[in-house]
Amino acid sequence: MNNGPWSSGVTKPVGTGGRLVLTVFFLFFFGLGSAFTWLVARDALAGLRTWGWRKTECRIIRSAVVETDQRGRRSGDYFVDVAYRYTMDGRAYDSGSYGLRQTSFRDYSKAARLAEAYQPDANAVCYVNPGVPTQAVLQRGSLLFPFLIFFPLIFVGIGAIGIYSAWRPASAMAKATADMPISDRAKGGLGQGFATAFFGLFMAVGLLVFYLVSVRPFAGILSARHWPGVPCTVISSEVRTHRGDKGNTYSVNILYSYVFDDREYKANRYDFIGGSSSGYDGKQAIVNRYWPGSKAICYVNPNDPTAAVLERGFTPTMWIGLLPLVFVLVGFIGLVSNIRKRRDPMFGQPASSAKLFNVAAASVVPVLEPNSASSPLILRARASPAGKFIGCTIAALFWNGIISVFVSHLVKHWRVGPFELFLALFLIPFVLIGLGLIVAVGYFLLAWFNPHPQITLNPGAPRLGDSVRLDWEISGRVEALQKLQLRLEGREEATYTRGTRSSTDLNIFADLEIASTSVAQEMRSGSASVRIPANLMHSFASRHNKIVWSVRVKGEIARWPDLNEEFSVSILPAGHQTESV
Amino acid sequence: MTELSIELAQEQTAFKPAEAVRGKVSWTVDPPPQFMELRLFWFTRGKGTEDAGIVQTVRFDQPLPHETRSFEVCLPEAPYSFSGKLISLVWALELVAYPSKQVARREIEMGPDGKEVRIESVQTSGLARRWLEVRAT
Repeated sequence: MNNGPWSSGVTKPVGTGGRLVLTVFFLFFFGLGSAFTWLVARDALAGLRTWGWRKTECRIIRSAVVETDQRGRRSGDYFVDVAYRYTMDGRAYDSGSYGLRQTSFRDYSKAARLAEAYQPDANAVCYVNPGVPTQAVLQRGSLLFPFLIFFPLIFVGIGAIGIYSAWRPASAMAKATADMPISDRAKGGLGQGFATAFFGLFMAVGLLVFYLVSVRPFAGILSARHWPGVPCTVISSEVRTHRGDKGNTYSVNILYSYVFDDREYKANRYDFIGGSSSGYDGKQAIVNRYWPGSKAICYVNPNDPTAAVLERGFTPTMWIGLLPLVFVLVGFIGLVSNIRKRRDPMFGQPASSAKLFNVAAASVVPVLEPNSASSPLILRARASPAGKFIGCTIAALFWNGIISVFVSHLVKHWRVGPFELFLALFLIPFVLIGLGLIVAVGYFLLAWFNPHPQITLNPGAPRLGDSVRLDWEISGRVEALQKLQLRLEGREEATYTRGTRSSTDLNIFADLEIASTSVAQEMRSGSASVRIPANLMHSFASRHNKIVWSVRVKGEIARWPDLNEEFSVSILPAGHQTESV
Repeated sequence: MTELSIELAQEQTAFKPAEAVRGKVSWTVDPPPQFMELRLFWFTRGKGTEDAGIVQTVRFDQPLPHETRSFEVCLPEAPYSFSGKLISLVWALELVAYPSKQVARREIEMGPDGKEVRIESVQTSGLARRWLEVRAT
């Protein structure tokens, strides 16, 4: 029995250079994750401690919304300035802390709502540190906040496992593998569970963001249709700049006052989408319409007059809210594909009338129902020309969409300042890939208009050793074909992981010519027979290893993409039976 | 001390599809296992990440610390044992002690000729042309 020249490890070992690259890569995860873990742990612990502080009655002295923080700095956000007095062990103390950390608000209404809850001269409950009576808060730390630690811990775990795996001795890996039952692998590894979790998380995050940037604003718009419009006066208006790693983003900040039920309120909400995005000019145009001192109509929530909005309809920027659906789609496709892989051990095999027989986890061989085993079968192409074009177009749009953000950033900065040479050099390979994808889109678009072959196999699922008849019919521009070739191909497909990369190696072991002609009439339609060698292997498809049989149709076309389509064929084991075992 | 073994009837290790595999399993396990399990399965070797599929299991309940029991399992029609340039498929029996998961393994071959299929390279010329009868319709 030939065991092949490979070790029996699941993952092939990588060299020292590869290990160093992997270590640097995973150190980044580990380091960043550790730093965030420490920050979250520190704040979480401090917040939890407040739950041991003494509950004490206090009297509110002052409560208002201000534009500066406790150090008097102005960031454009709003803060609640609160002061209260409490008595501890017979001694009076004053505090100005709402929580352990000062909370800032982009939305004025949120700050106003909080200030409203603590009216001056009203009694309230505060929590005093028994060890340091000068320390008190109105709001104890969140009990949900400590759970955030799991998020950076995921990165710490990925980093640690990655570094360990990179340097784990091959002998230790082989020993661990050798000591366990090989048959345990039939139960499915951690990889699938991880993939399911990854795509599930991808989809969940996409849905959450979609809810936040699309569903919630949409619900706000619907609700605001019944809000009464009241006159308001603009106090200040500006385009706020938010600095980020990938460039600045901007938001509209218009503070206005209005009277509702004989009381004056302030708000700064322009529309329901909120947040910040790239694109300065559009925001500046809005700000120009609402100069300080100007009058406008704002819409006030009658149930909560602190909430108001200037624009209660849809705005063009709301289309951005659809972007998270790309994440939802990617997560969904990944999830469905992974679940299908779990359910269907013949994944990756052609769709045909072949039914799978189920020998527990060994259902890796196709078989036809008894009455259809000898019937002709119209083969289906592994990838249709339309599918190739659409797939490539989506990939090109996705890739170039992302790259264009960086390229436009480069060009914008070049217009007003020095040329960013290093960024330009860094972008070159990515831009070249994008251009390659555009060329590929053009290629597949042309190939879409190629002649279209239809292949019928009789019997539909031949056995090893059978003689099989193949009928073909080519529709479309057959006259463009200079030569047509039909071949039966058998190949091994082995998928393996090296480091973090998954690759598939192919070995064609059978390449049988079925027909080859350059006569136009014969190219349009014809038939031929071929005997499948009895001493070869039937179709087989497990998760990472496959024996794939297919009919390949090749047609040469001058100055045009050649016809090259593959039709999968299910080759059954030599004549024993056709039904489920 | 732990010893697990699988003995095949007439020391037969090559089988045809759907043939029965008979033999005896023995174990010496201290402390006594909760139960023993014999698995008939295939697995892949080679360049690809290894896959496996269990076809049949036989459970031996209430095992003594030292015992021998006989078994009979039936091979399916497919997949055949094969050996290619990238992939090999191997049939095997494994005796697993629970809960320690100590294991004994015995590899067998299963194919149409009672042996594994060796995938040789077959090229177009000759064989294909013999069966070529292109005709215009």
